[in-house]
Amino acid sequence: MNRREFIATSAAFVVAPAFASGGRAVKTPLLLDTKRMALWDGPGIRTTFFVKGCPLRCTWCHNPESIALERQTARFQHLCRHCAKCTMDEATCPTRALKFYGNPMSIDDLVAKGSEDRPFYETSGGGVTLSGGEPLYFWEWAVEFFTAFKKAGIQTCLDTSLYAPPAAIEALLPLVDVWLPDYKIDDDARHRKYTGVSNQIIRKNLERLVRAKAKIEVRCLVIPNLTDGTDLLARHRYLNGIGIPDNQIVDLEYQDLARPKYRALGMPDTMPPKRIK
Amino acid sequence: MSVQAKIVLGALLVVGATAEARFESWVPKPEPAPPLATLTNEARYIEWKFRTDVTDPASGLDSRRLRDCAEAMYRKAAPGPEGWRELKADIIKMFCARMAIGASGYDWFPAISCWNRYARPISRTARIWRSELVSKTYFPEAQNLADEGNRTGRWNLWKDFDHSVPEWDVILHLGFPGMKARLKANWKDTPYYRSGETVIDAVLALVARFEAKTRGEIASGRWSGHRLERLEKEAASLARLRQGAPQTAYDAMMFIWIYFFVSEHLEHMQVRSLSNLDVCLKPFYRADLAAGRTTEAEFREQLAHFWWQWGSIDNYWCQPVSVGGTKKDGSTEFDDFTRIVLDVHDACALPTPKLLVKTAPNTPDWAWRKMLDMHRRHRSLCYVGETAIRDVFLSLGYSEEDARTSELNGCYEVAPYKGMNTTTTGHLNLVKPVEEMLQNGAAGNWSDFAAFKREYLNRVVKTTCEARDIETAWGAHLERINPAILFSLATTYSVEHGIDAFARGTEKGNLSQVCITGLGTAVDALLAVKEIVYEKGMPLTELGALMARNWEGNDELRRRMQRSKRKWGNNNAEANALGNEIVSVYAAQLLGRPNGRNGRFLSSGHCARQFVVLGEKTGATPDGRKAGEEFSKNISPAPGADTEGVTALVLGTTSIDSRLLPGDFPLDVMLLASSYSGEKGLEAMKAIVTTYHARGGMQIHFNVVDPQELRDAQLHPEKYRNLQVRVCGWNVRWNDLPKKEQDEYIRRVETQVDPGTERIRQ
Repeated sequence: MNRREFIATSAAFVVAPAFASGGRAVKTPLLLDTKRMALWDGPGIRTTFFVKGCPLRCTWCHNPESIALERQTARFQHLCRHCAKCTMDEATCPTRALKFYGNPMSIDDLVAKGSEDRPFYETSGGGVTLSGGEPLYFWEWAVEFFTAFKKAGIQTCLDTSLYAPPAAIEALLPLVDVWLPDYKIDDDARHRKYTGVSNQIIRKNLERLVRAKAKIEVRCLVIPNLTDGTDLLARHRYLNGIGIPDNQIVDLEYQDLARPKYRALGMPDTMPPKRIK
Repeated sequence: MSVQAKIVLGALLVVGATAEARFESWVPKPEPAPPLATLTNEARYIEWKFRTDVTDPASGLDSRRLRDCAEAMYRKAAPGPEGWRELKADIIKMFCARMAIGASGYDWFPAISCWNRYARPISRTARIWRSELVSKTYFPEAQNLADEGNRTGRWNLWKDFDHSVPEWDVILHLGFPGMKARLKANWKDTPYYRSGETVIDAVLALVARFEAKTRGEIASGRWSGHRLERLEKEAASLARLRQGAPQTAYDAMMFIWIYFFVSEHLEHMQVRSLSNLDVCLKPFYRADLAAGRTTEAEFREQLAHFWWQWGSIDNYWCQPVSVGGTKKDGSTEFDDFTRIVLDVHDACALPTPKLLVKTAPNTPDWAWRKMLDMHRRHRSLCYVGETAIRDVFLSLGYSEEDARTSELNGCYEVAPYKGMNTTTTGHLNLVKPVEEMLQNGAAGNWSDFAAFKREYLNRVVKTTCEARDIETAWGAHLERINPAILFSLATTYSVEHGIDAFARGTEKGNLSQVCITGLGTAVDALLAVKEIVYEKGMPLTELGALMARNWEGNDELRRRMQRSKRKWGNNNAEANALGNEIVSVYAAQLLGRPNGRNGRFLSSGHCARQFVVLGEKTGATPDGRKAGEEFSKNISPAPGADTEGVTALVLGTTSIDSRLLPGDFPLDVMLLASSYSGEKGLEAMKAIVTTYHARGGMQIHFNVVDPQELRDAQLHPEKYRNLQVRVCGWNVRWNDLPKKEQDEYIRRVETQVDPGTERIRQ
């Protein structure tokens, strides 16, 4: 995509209102990426769709390009040759230093794309996964998305922070086969400090999923000196306490490889160090 | 000259001669051999036994002297156009009688002085025969046409003697004396039978020499303990083979060993499979255990030594062995014995022999996990789908039973059990016509892409027909070109009818293949012409001039075309349709048509190393490829072309009906090691293989790589002596690849590898 096409299609994005307290969700997100042959986003071989836009501001976010709703241009300085005349075109940038994030995509297109790998879903027990960003930022759209895939007979999975209004959970419970929620920090004050939002909504939603006997795999990110040690223990204790056994909890190793993306997007790098000092 | 100087000069001559003998530039240059006196344990002795001469000089002649003797016999006999078969038998007899041999307590198998497969003593004489007499007498025009195409890069064709496989399970139950008895039972006084008797008598005499040599070692007093016991068992086994059929699993391995080396190293006829090894050895092993003749530990050691014989030869193409399959009752052949075979192969960590594994829906899960995990550790395996073999065989008119018992007789190729004499004569360059048309753009009157494509397809048809005619001319004289005497003795139909087995002497085979090279690159190049010329409006002559300048002056366009998604391997509908069209017109001129061997042609999708060789002979192409760069290989995409991941790759390539490429249909898949770790990685790899097979794909194999590791291995080769990568249908040690190919390989990894999940969730 070149710059002209980029600007022409950018008018398609929409602005998200604050919604976690039950406000109206954004209609349609931009698609950030499609990952086929995804192995770690639910059972079997999957196609994962990443949407753009997230109400959280996790300091460790590994996909900073997924936070903003609008389209973004990234210039990776360590690759950029500073050509006298920049092509402003991903396809011809000699060093692939230029990247545009976010494209409009209809649900029909997504279903067509997500159906391509059906033979692999059948042999591996896989399907499609919706990820982000935060897909529940656009939960009404997510309902349409999952309805379409259920109609296509494809197994569904949702990768989410669960920071969403209860109505979103209720609407999606019959449509999502596997939930992959995060549980980031147990202490609410620290959760607010490091993600920008309270974890009370998340806990309520988690408990609702357990009551509904939804198939869940909770991911707990382990960040040295930040979310390890006592906080990790507290998270496991809480999860076990609400009825989620350890075999449904996955502790994820933290990676701080996304720093170049922060710089390329002109965002302050907030990632904590990976190594314990 | 001082003694030291003579030794140094002698060593240099030996090294130089060895390198020269490995005449093809791409063959890795061998390390200088260590002094024989340092080969003082099992591992060192066997590692070097086929890289230097470990035989007893007092026992006979070295390879060079044998070569001179063979040439002298040829000059003296001056055979006429029909006289080579019996003279060849006499030469083999001379080799068996006069070749230096060896035995050692370090090794379960004997040694021969003709250790170097790149300098076989009969090769030079056979080459003189072929070029001085046969080519000039019988097919001068076809030869000239073939040579011209080889020079310009339209194709690479050669006379193939490489894809024979004996009827292992039959001859393992006959033994050498039984093979002779069968010959006698069908006897007619013709050159075929006389030469057969000469060779089988020579082999029996060689077995007797091996036995005597081994007994001499036992009597020498040099060996004690386990090594002495090993020699005693070896002598006993050779005595049994001299008198009859193999009785034990060790006898069976010894029989395969002797057959292989007589056929490959003395007769110049490749043995392209060491059998469906687990199926062939299983009954012997079970009987041994029941009778208390061996233990599992002893068998494992013998099998490790067996694998290591070919590990020591270390030939570039590797030695195929097949494993697994399905029994007549529909149950799997994989069992505890297969597990031993896999375990020992895994522990040896050798690039060769390479395992061609016949898999089916009945293949047990433990076997999948074992094999795929071996694959992740760079072991040499390729998965061949029995479901797809069945579909292909039925389409060719073979029976279900022919499909079930089919044998793998090449890097990938499959043949019916009673037809394992396929020739693979060479490879057509599918990219060359694009280059020629662009260079000739002004003369072409191709007003739209349909016209351009039509002309391209016409050229593919012409190339295919000409190559078919060349192979037909060669095939008609295959018996004269290189009679296959021992292989004939090992083929029932041949012995019964007195017809040379490799030429035309199998009941269900006599197949000829002419393969394609660069399918993915050709599709990409044509779609690039469509975009640049017929959609964006650049004149064809201008594009032709740009290609002639090797993209100089328009690097921006080159990058754009390199990164285009309209390429083969992305399950792109346009690319899939074009790929199908190309394969269809090629197959229409070849598949099922009669050849010169009383058989028929097969179309085939594997390219061996021709993706490099023909790439070097082809100019720049509009898909962004520069002159001389390699093509796509097999039915796989060009380097960096498949940007949609493995699933799209499998779906796109299997959009071609594999029945159009029944010779073989191989796909190469690169995976990033870190993304395919753990249980999930194994499950995903299994799903890739089973989906590919379910969609008609026949052969598939992986490179599970880490680009950082490869870069480190370039910098510190000493730390990665055993690192293997898969090149085409075979593994090579990373350190044996030339730097240029290493760089290209890393580029391929970095652009083509499926990263699994790049976007990490946190």
